[in-house]
This record gives sequence, structure tokens and C-alpha cells, in this order.
Amino acid sequence: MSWGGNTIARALALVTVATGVAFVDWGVRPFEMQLAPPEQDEGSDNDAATPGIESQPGEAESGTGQPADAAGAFDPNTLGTEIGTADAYQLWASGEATFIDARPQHEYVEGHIPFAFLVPPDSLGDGRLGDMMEFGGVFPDMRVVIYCEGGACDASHLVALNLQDMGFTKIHIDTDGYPGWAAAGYEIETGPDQVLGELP
Amino acid sequence: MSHGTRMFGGALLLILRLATAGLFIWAASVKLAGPREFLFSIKGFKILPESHAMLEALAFMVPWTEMVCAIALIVGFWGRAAAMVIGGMLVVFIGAILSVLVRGMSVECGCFGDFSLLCSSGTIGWCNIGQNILLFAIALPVMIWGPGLFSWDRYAEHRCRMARAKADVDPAGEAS
Repeated sequence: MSWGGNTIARALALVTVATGVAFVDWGVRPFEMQLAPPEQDEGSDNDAATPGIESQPGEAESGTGQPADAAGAFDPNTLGTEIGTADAYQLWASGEATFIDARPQHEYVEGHIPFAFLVPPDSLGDGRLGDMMEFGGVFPDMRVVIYCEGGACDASHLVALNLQDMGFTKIHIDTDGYPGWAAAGYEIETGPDQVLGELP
Repeated sequence: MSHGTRMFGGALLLILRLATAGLFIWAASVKLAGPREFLFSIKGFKILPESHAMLEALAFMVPWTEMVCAIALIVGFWGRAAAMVIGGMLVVFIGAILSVLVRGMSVECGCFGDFSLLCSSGTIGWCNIGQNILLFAIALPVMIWGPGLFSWDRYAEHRCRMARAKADVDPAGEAS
């Protein structure tokens, strides 16, 4: 048994080679980590809309359960990428957006926003988003809202990036997530995804 | 040590070496197929700073380190060193999983994708600690005794020994 400096030096050499290959791979196929601000609907004449990472001040506060624009007509073009429960509710109630639940299946079955598709991140490799487009009639020019557990949950962001890769341009993340929706007392639905079915 | 015992030990090391290599090639392939998914898995542990550049680099470095070491193990090239790197990574993984469990967090594993070795492929739990300890136990004999039969290391060692023996018999190269 010769286990000493030689082995450690070789181990470091292997790590160095792997690091070199990794950086080449990273350079060859970089991936997008930022979500682009949602595009406005065609024909929109709302010049005041300033899509950005956050909803604009004066619009709905997250988790309040109040409509985003209680005084006037709701205009989804004013929304940024990250929205709260109130904006999400407006989009849902007006039928302006398709909802995607990025939580694990058992949480979805216990309760979800009505008509939301179940697409957790670990189903992305199985073509679940493709199924959603094919069987759910969801197209890249449609507005989508993705939610998970709210707070520090990253699942929505990951699903959103994959949607962006597929050409979706009007993507919102409900940062209050399902807990915000349920706490606001909005309608919920239980049971499996009726369109895409259960996950394997 | 008898020839038979040495052959049995070498064969056992070969099996352990290939088992470790196979598992890590699988694990690396899953991560390399979806580096962004793996990045989010790393991010979910909330151990490292939220620097996208660092996380992106790690999302490529970890699987490529697994892949390079697994290939080295298959060939039996620097077998001890490759097993040592994999063992070191497993220790780091165990520490990271422990920190998640202690903090009571719910994190997706990102270990072997949908393939389940021992644990379900969902949220991390104590089973993943046991799984990594088992993988460490499989790699440990290779770390200690080397890659065993049918390895480049053994071939190189044999050639080295032959050259030394030849030099001992014919120190000044008189025969030639």
C-alpha cells in the first residue's frame, strides 16, 4: 500500500483536469439564469406599463388579497415578472393567464389553484411542459403564472426559465405562492391534475 | 499472501471499482444533462453565497469531477486518487445533507435524477446519508488497496517491477 503525497498529488491533478473540462463545457453551453420581463400583449396601448422584475409601486401588495387595480380595469401589461397574490387572483379571475403549480405532486393533490397544471421541476426532464402545450392547449404567446410554496421557493423560477427556453414571453411568478392564495381565502381545488395526469 | 488470495482480492477491488464508476457516471450524466436543474439543487441547500457565477461553475465542476474520476476508475488509472476524490466528495455531500436536515429544510436531492439507488428521488432525508455512507464504503477499499485486477495502475506497476528486475540482473546492460 503506497498511500501518501503521490496519491494526493494525483487526486489534485484529476480535479484540475475535471475543472478544465468543466470550464470548457460551461463556455460551450452557457444557460440563461435571468428571466426577461414579460412582453406586453399585442395591441396594448398602455404606455405607462413598465415591466420589470417587481410590480410597480402602487400596484397590488403581495398577499393582501386585494385586486391590483381596484379603481379601474385590470391591465396585465402593467405587471412585472414577480407578482403577488392579488395580481395572480386578477389574472386567474379574468382568465388572462394559465397557471402552473411547481410544487411536489402530493402538495398539489392536497390543494391547488383551480385549473393549474402540475409541473414540478423534477418532471421537466420527462417533457411535462411539452405535454402541457400539446394536451393543455398552452402556447408560447400565452400569459403564464407559476407558483410554488412562496417565499424562498426556487421551483417556480426553474420552471419559468425552462418556459422561457421554449419561447414563452409573458411569464409571471407568484412569489406568495400557494400559501398566499390559500390564506387570502380564494377558491382552491384538490385532487390530481385532470389534464396531464399523475406523475410517474 | 497466496496467489489465490491476491487474485480474489484483486477481483473484489475490480468489482467495487466498476460499481463506484458506474454509479458516478450515471450521477454525472444526469447532472450534466440538466446543469440548471443541478444548480437549483445546489442553491436549495443554502450553504453557499447566492452568487450565480459560483453556482454555475459548481454546476459544471461537480459532475465533471465525478465523470473524470469515474472514467479513471474504469480504466484503473490512478485508481486510489480517483477513489479518494470521490470519497472526499461523498464526505462533503454527507455534510451538506446533514446541514439541511439539522436546519429542517426541504430540499430536492439532485443526486441520481429519477433513478433511485436506495432512497426515493424526492426530498432529501436520512436515507440519503445512509446511501452516501454505503457509496463511501464501496469506494473505501479502492482508496486503501488500489484498483485491483485489469487496471492501468497494476499494468504500470508490473512493467516497473519487470524493468527493475531486469536492471538488477543486468545492471550495466552488459547483455546488450
